[in-house]
Amino acid sequence: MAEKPAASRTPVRSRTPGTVIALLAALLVTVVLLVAGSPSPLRALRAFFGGPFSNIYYLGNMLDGAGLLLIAGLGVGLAFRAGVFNLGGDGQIYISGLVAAIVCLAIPEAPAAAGIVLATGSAVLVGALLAGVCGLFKYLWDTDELITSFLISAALVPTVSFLIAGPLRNQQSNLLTTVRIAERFRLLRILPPSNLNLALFAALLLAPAAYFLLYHTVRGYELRITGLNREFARYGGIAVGAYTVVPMAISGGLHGLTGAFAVLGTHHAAIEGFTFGLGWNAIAVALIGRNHPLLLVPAALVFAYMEAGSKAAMLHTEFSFELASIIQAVIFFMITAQVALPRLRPRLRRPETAA
Amino acid sequence: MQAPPRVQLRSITTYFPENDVTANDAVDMDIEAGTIHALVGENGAGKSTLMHVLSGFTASSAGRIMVDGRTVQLNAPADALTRGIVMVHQHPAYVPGFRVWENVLLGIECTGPAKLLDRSAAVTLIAQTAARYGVSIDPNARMQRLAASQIHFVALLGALLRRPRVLILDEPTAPCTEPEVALMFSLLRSLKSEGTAIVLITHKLKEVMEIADRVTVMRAGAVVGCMSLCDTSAAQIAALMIGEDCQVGDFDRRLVEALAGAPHGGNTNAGAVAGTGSSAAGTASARRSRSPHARDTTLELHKVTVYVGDLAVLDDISLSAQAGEVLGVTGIRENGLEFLEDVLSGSITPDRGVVLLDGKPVKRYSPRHFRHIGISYIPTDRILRGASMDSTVAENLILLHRKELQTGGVLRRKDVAAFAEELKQRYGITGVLHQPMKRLSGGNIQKVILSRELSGLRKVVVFSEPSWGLDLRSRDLMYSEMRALRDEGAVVILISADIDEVLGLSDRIAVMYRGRIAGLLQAEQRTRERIGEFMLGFKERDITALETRGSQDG
Amino acid sequence: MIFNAVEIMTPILLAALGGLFAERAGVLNIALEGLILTGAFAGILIAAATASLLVGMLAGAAAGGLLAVVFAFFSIRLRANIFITGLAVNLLAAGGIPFVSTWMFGTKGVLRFPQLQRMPRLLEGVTSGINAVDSLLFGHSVTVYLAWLLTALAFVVLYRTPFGLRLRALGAREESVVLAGVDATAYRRLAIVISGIAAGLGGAAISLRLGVYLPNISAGRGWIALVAIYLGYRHPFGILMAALLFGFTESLAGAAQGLLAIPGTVLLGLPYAITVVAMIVYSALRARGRRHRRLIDSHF
Repeated sequence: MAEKPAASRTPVRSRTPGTVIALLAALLVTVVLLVAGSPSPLRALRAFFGGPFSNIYYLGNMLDGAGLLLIAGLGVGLAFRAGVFNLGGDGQIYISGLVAAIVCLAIPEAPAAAGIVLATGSAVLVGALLAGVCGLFKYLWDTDELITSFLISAALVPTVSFLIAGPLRNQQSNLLTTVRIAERFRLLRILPPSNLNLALFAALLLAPAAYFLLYHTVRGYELRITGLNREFARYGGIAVGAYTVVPMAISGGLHGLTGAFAVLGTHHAAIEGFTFGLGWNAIAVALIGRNHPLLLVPAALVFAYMEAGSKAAMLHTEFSFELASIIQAVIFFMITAQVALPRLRPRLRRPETAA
Repeated sequence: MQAPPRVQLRSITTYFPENDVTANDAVDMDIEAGTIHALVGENGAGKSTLMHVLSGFTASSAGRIMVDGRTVQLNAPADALTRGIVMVHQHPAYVPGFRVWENVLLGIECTGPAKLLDRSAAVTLIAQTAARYGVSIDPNARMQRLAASQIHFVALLGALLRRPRVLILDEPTAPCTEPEVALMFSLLRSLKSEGTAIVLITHKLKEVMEIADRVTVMRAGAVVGCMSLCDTSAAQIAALMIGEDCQVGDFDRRLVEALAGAPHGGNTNAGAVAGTGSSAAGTASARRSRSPHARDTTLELHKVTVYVGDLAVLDDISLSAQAGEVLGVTGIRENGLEFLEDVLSGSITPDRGVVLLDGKPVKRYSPRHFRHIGISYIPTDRILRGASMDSTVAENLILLHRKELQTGGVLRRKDVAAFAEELKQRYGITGVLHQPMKRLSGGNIQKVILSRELSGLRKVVVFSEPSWGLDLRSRDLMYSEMRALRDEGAVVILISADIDEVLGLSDRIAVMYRGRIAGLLQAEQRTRERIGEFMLGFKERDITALETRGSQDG
Repeated sequence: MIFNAVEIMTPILLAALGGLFAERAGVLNIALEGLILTGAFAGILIAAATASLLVGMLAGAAAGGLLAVVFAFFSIRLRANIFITGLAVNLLAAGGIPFVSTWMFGTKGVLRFPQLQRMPRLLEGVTSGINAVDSLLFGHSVTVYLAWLLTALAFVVLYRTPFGLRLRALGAREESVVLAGVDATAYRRLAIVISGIAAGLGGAAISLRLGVYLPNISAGRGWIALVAIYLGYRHPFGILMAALLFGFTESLAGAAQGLLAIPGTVLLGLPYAITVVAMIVYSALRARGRRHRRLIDSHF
């Protein structure tokens, strides 16, 4: 029986008209839902558009969100560039976040630097492992990494929630959360009282670093070639297997870093469901930024703005967080659509090669 | 009084904005009922595209199509099919797991009660049609078990079952043996007598002279001549194809003369190819430094066997090639050439036997290792294996030199650009280095691959179907590079199903049949006819004798 | 336990059969999860409103089909990336249903419909004398038998009709059907809608059997169905076996829960874990002895 090889997928890419239309559509849907669902539509709209800038608290939180989105988005985009799809990012952030929290809680007396490095390192390692094994399975047996990465995360997420809500729960808190990590492990806050912290700078350093890696190094060249044409890469003597496993691991590692920063910088504890779909948003960010590390910076900002806006507006409406996944859905529907290039029929072969 | 031509194409213009190519530029063409109309031209001349437009497969940007004098809109193959316009493509698309009857009747299925598939009716229908035209095909055979030529006949049968009023064939004889060509031509003649209009796209002037009633010549997207066969000669057609205004190399001239002078004789043609070799090679090799170890290089295959399931697709192959010779390997497609290509490039590991370079077995079978030890390789599949179409031209060119163009893992931009520019200049690649590869024409894509592969170690170079789809000028370049390689002491292996090409370029020729070396011919022994006999397996019994003789001579 | 396994497998089987049509048309439908969820919600909502299980089932199928139309519009007509749009469907279901639920019932939590009649059972009291056979074959919900019927129907449609022939050709080699004058996009669109209808039906089968709607009631069945397609060698009867296997494992795990005292929350991840293990084992077994597969494919 003929089987469709899993590797036959086309690279995931967005196009400029699709990006613009997707953002506009997301904005439109948001506005419509806000107006429809709010007793005072005008105030909701004002909150949506102006909310993120109304005070330092909102602004800082928005920038903090953008930083986390950027790191995770880089993870998604790097995998896309190598032609692999890490669909377990949200879970990887969640799991690694808990790992970072556990490390911090286990060594409360350790020196600040050692604790931060250890917690971040273990989180990155766990993330890299979770995604890396999917790359390994793909390399060994052609197992579809899109499905395995999602399933592995989905299988572990309930356990993380159980640990946070059960054995590790902070009994003093009303929230389902672990005990807060020691003061010295918390990343320096930049705009108190907001959550903005040093992680933003890390994110802003990572983007050009990823750009340099992709476009100015041999490894980046090999990674992109592998992503665009696996067979050609193999033919050219590129170690294709490595560029299946390593980008997945890096992608997972960056998600792990996101998780660690969310705990050490933003929340100071592992809260149940603290990702709030951060991993899914990162996919949207990677697509808006067309998998280009530098374009990801504005993409993350735009997306964080929309997120912060809808959170601010939420105070004036009757809904809660599901608005975020509706916005995501709208963006995902539109972002890779080829709206501006309607073709009446597919041309299957190029003229020169068919001649 | 007189009926209008069956098909009239008027000012057909086909423009592809994504690669800025005008494949057809205001083309007019009339196709009459009951004639065989040859459509000839170099590669990229727009022949196939024009017929894709007529068969509804490609959209034209402008122009009008009339069938029986009435203007029609052909937006999809379905529209063309309902008007009786059927095209058999150069590489007929078939479904690998399907049987012949399922494939042939796709879209025109035989159904019984409750609209369910009626297998026996389908089988009977196909058997009858095949018998009527003298084709022997088992309707129950699985598609992937068929040889390439049989697949063409199956596709042709599928076309006939759609009762074509206009039948378009794109290079139908490419994979066929001479008897099969004869069968196909007699089939076409009987279709013609039934009143079908037939368009035959071909490269082979010989065939045009043999079977066509009319010929239309295209060049660079436009029609440059349309005449009745009784009013023209092969020389005139060839001249039109190449174009008097263009710069034509000495090689082209001779080839044209050879083709024109002896349309039925492949030998003369091949002689011309070989004859021009030394002069072109002399200048080419002077440009380059010699490989240090090239003189004593040998590449050897020792009892190489590859199984697919129980079938030995390569069966006990022993071959050796020395420095300074071109070893040609030919055979009909599906007889093992493609697996030989994969073994010689390290893409697959033999189940038994070894590949030896300079007498030492290779350590690993991987393209990476093969490249490392100095085996370059120009693959048959240029789009999927030979190039990354979404990467830039420069990125395609530097593939083998990425390690030399870096310092501490960082690519040196200036050196990358200079390196790519140098290859571009040396091989006359037309195109912009920082644009995607997919913008290039087929000939330029092959030039990029060639220049990249020849920029490597040049100890052993494996060419697989190197001239497939190339025009004469690009072929000329390819052949002179090949001879230059040989003269500087490299081992050159040419895998090609094109007998004339192999005859013209090789010092020795191995012929494959059903995964075995059926014959190994020295320079003085070879003729088209002898090769043909081995290709078809007529002489399979002589294998052992030939092999021993071959290895003694080598 | 066998009895339970058969009941558990039914929604998986239905969704996988639908997914098979998409798969055979060359589309890996990762939206099954969202389509099941939509079918489950719409099914129970309409069943409660009309007091008819049949109408509920149809509504579930229709809702799944409708969402699939949207999915097909974006992925086929606008040629958007099928995985990203598939994600969009899943997210839309995950976000849209609580939205509607809040709007209609003021809660995004559990919805109970006590007035809803119970799912009728067929062949109750029939016995073959062998216990295992009885619990495998008799006394199940009507949806179980419907799913079996649809399995046979899927086989006939795929392997005995021109539609199925063209669909299989489309997935294996798109060019072959386009050149044969078949509108490939229309077939692909139809295949996606069929998968939506079947997944919607599967969703309705879940919620109507339970008589309640819970958030995330699909619990990964869409992903399990996706893996079942491969485990079943992309054949309806193979998928029946694969779904049964998943049914068994899940009902076994349910039984083990009590014995081993694993917390319920942790167990929510179990179906995913079983599925991913099954998938990895399957691909490892398939990969053995298929060294040349990639190259052989390219030569034929």
